[in-house]
Amino acid sequence: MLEHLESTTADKVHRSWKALANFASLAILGACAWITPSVVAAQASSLPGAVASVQLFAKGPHSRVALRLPEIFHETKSEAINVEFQIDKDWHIYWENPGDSGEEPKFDFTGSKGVSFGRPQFPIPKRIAAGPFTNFGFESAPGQPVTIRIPVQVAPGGDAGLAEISLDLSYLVCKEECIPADVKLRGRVPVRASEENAVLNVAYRTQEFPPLSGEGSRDEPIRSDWKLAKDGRLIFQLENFKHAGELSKLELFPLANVSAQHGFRGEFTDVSGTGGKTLRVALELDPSLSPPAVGSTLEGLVVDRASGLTSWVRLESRSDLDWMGLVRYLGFAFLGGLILNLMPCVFPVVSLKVLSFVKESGGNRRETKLHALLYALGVLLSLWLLLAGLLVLRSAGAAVGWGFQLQNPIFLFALFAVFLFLGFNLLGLFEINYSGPGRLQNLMMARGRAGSFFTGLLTTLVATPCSAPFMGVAIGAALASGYVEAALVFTMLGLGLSSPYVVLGFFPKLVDRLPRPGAWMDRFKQLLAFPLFLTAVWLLWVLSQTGATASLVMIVAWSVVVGFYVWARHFALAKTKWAALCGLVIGFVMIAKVLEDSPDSSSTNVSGSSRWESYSDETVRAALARGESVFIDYTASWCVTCQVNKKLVLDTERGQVLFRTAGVRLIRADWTKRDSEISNSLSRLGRQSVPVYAFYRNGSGTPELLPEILTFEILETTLRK
Amino acid sequence: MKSVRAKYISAFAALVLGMSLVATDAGATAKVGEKAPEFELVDTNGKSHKLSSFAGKTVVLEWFNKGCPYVQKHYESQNMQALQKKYTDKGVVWLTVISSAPGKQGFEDNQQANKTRADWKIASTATLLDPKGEVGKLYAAKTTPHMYIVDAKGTLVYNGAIDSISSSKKDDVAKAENYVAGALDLLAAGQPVKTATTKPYGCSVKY
Repeated sequence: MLEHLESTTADKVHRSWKALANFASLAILGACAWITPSVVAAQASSLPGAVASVQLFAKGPHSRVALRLPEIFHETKSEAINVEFQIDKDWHIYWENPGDSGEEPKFDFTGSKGVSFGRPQFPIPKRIAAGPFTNFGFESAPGQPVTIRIPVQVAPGGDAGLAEISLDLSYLVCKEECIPADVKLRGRVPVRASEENAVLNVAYRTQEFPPLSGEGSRDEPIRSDWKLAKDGRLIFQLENFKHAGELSKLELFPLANVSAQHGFRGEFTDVSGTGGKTLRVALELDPSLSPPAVGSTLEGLVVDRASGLTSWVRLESRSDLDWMGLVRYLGFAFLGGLILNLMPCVFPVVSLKVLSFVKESGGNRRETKLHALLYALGVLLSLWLLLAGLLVLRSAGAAVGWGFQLQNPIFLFALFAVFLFLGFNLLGLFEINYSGPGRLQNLMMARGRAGSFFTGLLTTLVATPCSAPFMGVAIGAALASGYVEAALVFTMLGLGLSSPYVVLGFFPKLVDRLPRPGAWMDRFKQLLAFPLFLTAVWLLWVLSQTGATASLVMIVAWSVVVGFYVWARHFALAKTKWAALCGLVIGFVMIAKVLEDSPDSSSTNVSGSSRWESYSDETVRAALARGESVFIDYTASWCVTCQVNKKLVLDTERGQVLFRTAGVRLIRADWTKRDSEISNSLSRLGRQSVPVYAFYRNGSGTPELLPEILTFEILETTLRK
Repeated sequence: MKSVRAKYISAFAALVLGMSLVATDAGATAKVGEKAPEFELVDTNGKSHKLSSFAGKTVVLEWFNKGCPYVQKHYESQNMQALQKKYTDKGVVWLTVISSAPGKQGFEDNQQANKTRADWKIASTATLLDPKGEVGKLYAAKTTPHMYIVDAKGTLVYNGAIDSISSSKKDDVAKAENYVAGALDLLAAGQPVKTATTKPYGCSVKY
């Protein structure tokens, strides 16, 4: 700890020397620490300039605890601190699931402003017999303390260069009997903004910790699903599990909610077919506890004693859709598709289709039917393509959700361009060249059969962000369940989306009720250009929310070039037209490049209000652990419903008063950009789209989900219940 | 779609199979929803108590070890005594069981146990001595405290922790949801116990 103080004043010393010196003194300190903890602690606090509140060592019953701090924290970098337990011979402390008895260590960290703490990372536990029962815990040999690592993040702009850390630690030390311990530790670490002293941390960072991670870390575990076998054992499979030299050396440590027989190490069987290695794992459950509920998520740590590698496994149970459930989901999917037709971002395109129907209905009836069916086929095909893509991405492990296309700035820009062109086209400023079927707008605006088909495709593309209340549930259920169910749900969605047109096509009498074609149609067509332009503006706004603000001016300038091109084309100025087209293409490529390079991480705060904290699993977990009530607003700037709810309910004076009186912690999960943490959190709720409003009452682990369209009444009854 | 139906049939088959297995196993171990295993133990005054002799009454079994900080938490906070008093006044039989083996932490002979009863103002119906740990193992009692409730018909209706916060801190008593009180209140109202099994917490039973 001496080096901390020195390093603040002597940064300019040659780095490698400094690193070497630090490594040596750290090693010496580390060695001395266990011999004379009280002496070192006293030295630390008696140093000139050191404040007496620094307390890096503490003594508990049959145990000593040390807070190990790094030389320096770098802002925004992932840092860590260690808590070391030196436990007397024959005594032990516990893992995060203590097993049949005992209690896990509980860490209550507080830090100065901007310092946040992650979930403690434990070393590999061992099974400790307690009579006929089993505990998961740790023993330590002299000089080999049990090290628990806590990730730390330091936000920029905290308290002037010094992060204060204090820890209230309660843990249980047991031999045969158990003694609870409470200790307080306190320390401080200088904070650097940049990498200037990166070398200093090397000695600290290369300490071998946490236990070598195999294929699944705690935050990115191996995913699989569990089921109960006929013999009452819990079964799951590890696909492509590489670190399995000798099956007898594998051991499973389940978390508490698995209700496992803790003495049972897990039975690993090799069931590999061709290709990667697949292990089947069976686990005895504790007969005196009820087995885990269907739908619950179970976690455990697989340890390979031979290699020392560990892998976290997260098991989800396939929620078996029952018949009624399936019918209900399919009904919702159909209804959702139907309602999507009315959504503002679909409506312009739908109206286009209505227009073409009106035109066609004057002609051949059979042709009209064909158009309607082709339209439906287009919708279905695009949904199937989307589903296939989703499933591929899902199996590839990418955390994507419905609506993810609109988180991609290049996609947004391309869509903006398409809408701009469509608008000019509708205004009649240029006609589509029918002989050039390669162009997207061409396909979409084409009359005739291809036109119907591609309008169907486009409708889906545009409908994506407006995932209606029904859709979120249906898609969530489908993606969480099997492929067949998912395909069925998507098909129903497509049928719902296209059904009005199929109905129109097959019951020409209804078509007859549509307005007669006439001169008004041209004006109507031109009028439709304006919703399209508005949609283009909206897309631009969405784009600005993804953090790609720098390119906005470029895009507006590019729009002017589009106008120039359209003008040149309109008056058939051949050379000018080609020049403009070249400009357009070059501009498009340039902007796409800029968008691609634009830092996805550039932070945008959609909430714009400090009453809302931004989402992190850790914040929520910590708040719930303290028994607080938490309200999470899963939102995105491109989600219109979300914005409406925010403006009309959540961020109003009245809404905020409701929250304040109920003492609710407000957390906003902004999904504007694909945030994997939020994606995961949504999928845990069984949702793939926003808005989702989750209310956790008094630290309860299971949230109440509010409807997707909020009113004060709904909010009030939920909060007051 | 067929696979969904097949899943249901196989689940049902598993259920039937499981139930028949359980039925042949009845009486061997304590399982919620089944008949609580019969036992006979001597109390601190040498009086013998048989579980079946309490038929018609609700019986609470409480595993006890006076050296265990988790037991001390509930006695020093007067939480346990208050529960014992409240429910024995309502006709519930509350049996405190000591399964610590001689020489192990928490072992007490009848004189010591009587003294503890007086010193700690334990208000249960009786303290039963189980130095061989037979009844403890019969019920698979893992921790002190570990709580069981047997209803008037002799069915085990609760097995688990005393409350929802696994800690040795007295402050947590007030914040926790007391599963035993919750179950006893439901039983008194003639309703089924909602939370019937929980993971017990505390020190291991010193068999």
